[in-house]
Amino acid sequence: MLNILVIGNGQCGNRILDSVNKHAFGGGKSGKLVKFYSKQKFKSNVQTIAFNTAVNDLKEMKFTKAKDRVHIPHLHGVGANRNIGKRVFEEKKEMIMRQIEEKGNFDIAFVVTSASGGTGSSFTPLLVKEMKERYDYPVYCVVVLPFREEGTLYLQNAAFSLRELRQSGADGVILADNQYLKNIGGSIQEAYNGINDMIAERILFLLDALDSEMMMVTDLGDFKTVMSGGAGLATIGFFRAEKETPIKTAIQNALSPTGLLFSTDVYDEASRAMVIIKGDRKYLSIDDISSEIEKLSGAVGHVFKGIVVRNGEYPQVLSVLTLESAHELEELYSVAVQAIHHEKAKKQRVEEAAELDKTFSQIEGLEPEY
Amino acid sequence: MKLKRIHIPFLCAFFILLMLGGAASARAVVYEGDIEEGDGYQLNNYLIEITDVFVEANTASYYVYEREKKIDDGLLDINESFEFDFDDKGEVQVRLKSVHSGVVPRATVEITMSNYNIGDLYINDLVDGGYSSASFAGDPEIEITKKIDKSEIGIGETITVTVNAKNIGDDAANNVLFTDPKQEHFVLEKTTYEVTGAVSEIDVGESIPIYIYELKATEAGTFDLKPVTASYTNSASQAYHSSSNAPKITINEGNKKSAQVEISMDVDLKSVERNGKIISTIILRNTGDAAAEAVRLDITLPQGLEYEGGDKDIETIGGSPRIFIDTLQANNDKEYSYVLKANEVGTYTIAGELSYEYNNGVDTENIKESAEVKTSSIYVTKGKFDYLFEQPVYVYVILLLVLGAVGVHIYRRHKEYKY
Repeated sequence: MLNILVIGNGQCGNRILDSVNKHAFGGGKSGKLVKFYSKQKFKSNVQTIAFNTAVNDLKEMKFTKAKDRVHIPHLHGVGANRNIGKRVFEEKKEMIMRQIEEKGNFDIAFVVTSASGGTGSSFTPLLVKEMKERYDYPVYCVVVLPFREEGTLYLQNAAFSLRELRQSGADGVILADNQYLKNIGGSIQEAYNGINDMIAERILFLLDALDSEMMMVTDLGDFKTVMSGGAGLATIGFFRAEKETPIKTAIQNALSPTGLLFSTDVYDEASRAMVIIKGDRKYLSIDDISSEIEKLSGAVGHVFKGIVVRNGEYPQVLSVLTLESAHELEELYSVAVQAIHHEKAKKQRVEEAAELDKTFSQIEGLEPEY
Repeated sequence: MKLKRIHIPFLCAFFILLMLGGAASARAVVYEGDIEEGDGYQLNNYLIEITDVFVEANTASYYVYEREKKIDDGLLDINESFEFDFDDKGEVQVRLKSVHSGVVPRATVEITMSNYNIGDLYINDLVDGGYSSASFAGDPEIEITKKIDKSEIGIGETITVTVNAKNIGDDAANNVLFTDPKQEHFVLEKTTYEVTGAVSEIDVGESIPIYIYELKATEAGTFDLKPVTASYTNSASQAYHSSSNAPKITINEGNKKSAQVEISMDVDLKSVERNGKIISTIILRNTGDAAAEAVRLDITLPQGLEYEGGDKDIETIGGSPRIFIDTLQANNDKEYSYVLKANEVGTYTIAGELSYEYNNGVDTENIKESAEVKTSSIYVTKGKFDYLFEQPVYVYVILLLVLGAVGVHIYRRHKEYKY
């Protein structure tokens, strides 16, 4: 049994972590009361920790145990200011690391965070760096990129945070792009919840697959190998058939833009891949699977495949893809650079406006006479 | 000596007879004295007049009158007497004792009476002038007539009674006091006229009204009105009594009013589960022609049924509903409803005790009536969840333990996830 640590940093990370815990209770459609009558069904020994400087974000969580929610005291958050976030982390580093230490030894760790927020984007690179220095297990980050229209601060946070993450020693960064996923539709709240659930569902599938008995085996080692390929960036694709669906179609959907968390051309940008297929034996045609995997490996190089037999279930396919390049990420950085310039220009304007102070200084030392 | 012994019983018998004979013919002296010529001596309505005194002849002549009628006359010598019959079998004896000359000759007489109590004499005196100056008392007779305007009426109807009195005697009636006894089966409705106190005098032939009043019949039957009586005296203060006639009157039933309160007491359900609700509806209807007063319905609930509430006019006494209506007019009805809760399984009836009173328009006192009413049977069956309360104790213990464990589990989970 694998020992897995999942950390949720900041508001976004907390919510995805809570969604993972919720799905672990038995499916995403469970109500709020599921925690009173059900148990989490992790295959592995999964420990979760949520870090946040904003206590209200921690209170919002419903399916994560109270002892797993750690408040890092700093008023009510760091206000999307990564510099403050980093300073707070340095101040509270030992407290944070003690929380992780108390959870035990692990075989693998995932840190889920937003790249654009305050706490998550500033804590995660430093946290990963500390973990890599202290522990010998691989640490992977699941990073959520912001909507492009969310604002200049978030865009520049995302740009710097991603760069620092790559420099932190993380064993891989799995990208999920809100911009790409926003076509889920519905209200803002529904879109956020939907995105969180999508990411959580994929993480849970991955955790489940890493510790399952398989007809065709993929294991933690295969996952590490996949994640070590490419430019250290990866994404996940997923497809769940709601009816009888050919396995080829299911695999194709898991690799298609509708199934991926990040916009990429798999056959052009992927470096290595792992495909895990789950479902009833009758839907799992080895020939069809092999044919489709061969097609993928012909384009990307090496593809690990695993098959988990689950009686009575329609096919589900998870794909983990490391990327050699990421056109969409370049686009993001391009926008982020514009945002940084925009912010800089604004700051200059404000400094220039300080000239006004001279106007007010003319009456310095004088008192009104009546 | 022997002779003496023989005569003693005879002597005793003689004296006894003598005494008895003396008592039977005992005379009382009414008057002993002089009566002048032309004067008289009156004993009640009898007058003994000395018409002439003949001193030389030692005689005197006399007349005896009974009122205006001369019943005797004659001439008496000294020590000679005459007798005449008096009232009530009495006898008067007049004896001439002596005659005397003078400006007006006079005779000395002794008047005695027998078989009459002289204390009863209402006139016992000399009459100066004799018969022409005497006055005699007559016999007044009050004829009382009691009349009614109708001889046949219904209960509650009235008759007018008129009472007149007429003196048909030959003397005035004095101090006439009328008495009209209270009539049974009637009540005095109205008095139009009545004499107050005693009438001082009713002359001969005079007629006066005594009473005019109305009586209301209260009871059916044929009755004689009680006669009016009168007591009075004549001019000589002799007492007399009279009575009126007693008119007969027939009183028919039929005009009495009555209240007739009918009650219906129903329930909306004949069968109800335990803890279910039953609505009982009560209708009180007065089908009589008189208003029912103080109408009261006491409802007795069996133990398995509980009063939950009802119309505001329903009051509860000790948990049982009661309806009270001051007046329920004729041909009126009132409806009430209330809700009962079935507490226990069983078969029940709801009993009601109705009481009311009314006035029949005749009697002064109200007539009281009462009645009892019952609903049909109400079957209270087991409730849907009653079986929950019929399990052995260990079932509840296990259930409580399970619930307790679930509670503890939920509490612990709540604490575990509460931040």
